[in-house]
Amino acid sequence: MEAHVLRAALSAAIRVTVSTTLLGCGGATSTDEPSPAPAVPGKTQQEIQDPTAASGGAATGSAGASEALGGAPGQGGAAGAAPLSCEAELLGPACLPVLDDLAQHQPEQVAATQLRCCKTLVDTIDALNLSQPEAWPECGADLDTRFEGVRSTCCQNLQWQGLACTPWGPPVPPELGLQQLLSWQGAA
Amino acid sequence: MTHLLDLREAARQLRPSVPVLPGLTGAAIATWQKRMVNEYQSSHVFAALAEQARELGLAEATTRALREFEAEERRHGVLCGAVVEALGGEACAEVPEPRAVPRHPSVAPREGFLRNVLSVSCLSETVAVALIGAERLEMPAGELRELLTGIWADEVGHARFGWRLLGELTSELAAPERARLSLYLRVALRHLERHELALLPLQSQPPPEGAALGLCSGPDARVLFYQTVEQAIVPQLEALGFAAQRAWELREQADLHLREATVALVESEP
Repeated sequence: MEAHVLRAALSAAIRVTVSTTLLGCGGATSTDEPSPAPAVPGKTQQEIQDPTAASGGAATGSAGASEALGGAPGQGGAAGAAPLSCEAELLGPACLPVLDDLAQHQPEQVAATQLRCCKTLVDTIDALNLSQPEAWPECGADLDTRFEGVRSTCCQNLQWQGLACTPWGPPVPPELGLQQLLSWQGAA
Repeated sequence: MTHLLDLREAARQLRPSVPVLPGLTGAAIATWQKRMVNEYQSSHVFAALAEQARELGLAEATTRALREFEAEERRHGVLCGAVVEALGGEACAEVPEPRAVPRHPSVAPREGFLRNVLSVSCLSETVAVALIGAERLEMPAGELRELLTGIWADEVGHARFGWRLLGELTSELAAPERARLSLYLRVALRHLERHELALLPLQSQPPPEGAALGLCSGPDARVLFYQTVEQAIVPQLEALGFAAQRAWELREQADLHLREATVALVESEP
């Protein structure tokens, strides 16, 4: 994105926050190019790597690789064993070494098991995006990193086409329960 | 629980002329189909806000505007579907049942309504103005750009509405209500950040010609997102008397709360 585009888009956003346009005039806005906003240093590419990612933590559940490989969902975490990473919970522990191997060797043709793990990874990313965007940061950075390593191989074999940017349409607002509110009030 | 969203018939009447870029067609179809779903589904959010405004006894113009926004989001869904059809795809998709918009029972109805206005219009729609605006500026002239301009203009209206309404209602707030809304901003800003990052993938880095089909760079869009929050949204919320800068700095405190809400949501699904 060129700098003038970024400045103009940002300027439009600034202007809507201070506009006094009457109600019901939503469609009646000028489409002229906004005047540039003052240049202010933004974040670098490195800084915008997903800062919300958390390692480990509670998983949200999804069709995992153990299911893809013929097992039951959530299989692979023996009772009493250490908690699985959320990545392992989502993809299934059996797929992690398969995907590691794919990333290392990048074969042109993949075996059926490898293809199933590719599909599990892609489906998991799509499912989180589609229905549980709130769950994404749990594993966002991990899944992004893993996907980057196998993207070419998996997409070529799955003939999958990726999404570009689709953050349109406001999501349902989050809730804030009384207990959390009181806790923050007490700390304030 | 999902159902089929089928907009094919309406979308086929509105197909714009689109550039032929065979190597990017698949990605463009997937992208516009996702936009179709997101836009259409968000009509439920405005429908709920309109109902809450009516119950609160707000001005008739306010409720009417929210109803218009509901219709506009549905129309945007059809327009995005029209792009899908123009590209050779089908404007239909399995979509989840829409989630209920919260009523925030732990606070008074007016404060709960303001929480939703903050989240929907002042945060999400302001970011949409920036992101769609940038995409539009990068797109060459043509029918697709005209379609995008129409959507962008409506999003400008949705955001302006929220900021104006917030300004009006905020002046009537007592200090404790303002303080509670400032605390809510921690959750709302973190939720916004998570939502945007999830839909602005780092791996989305199409070639320059992708701009003609509305394929934007995820990393670039993330830069614009953060600048919009830090230079447009937070300063204006501060000007209205909210502790928005502090809420932005402390937004990660909302992680545990949002995680618990997500787990509860998943566990409650059949």
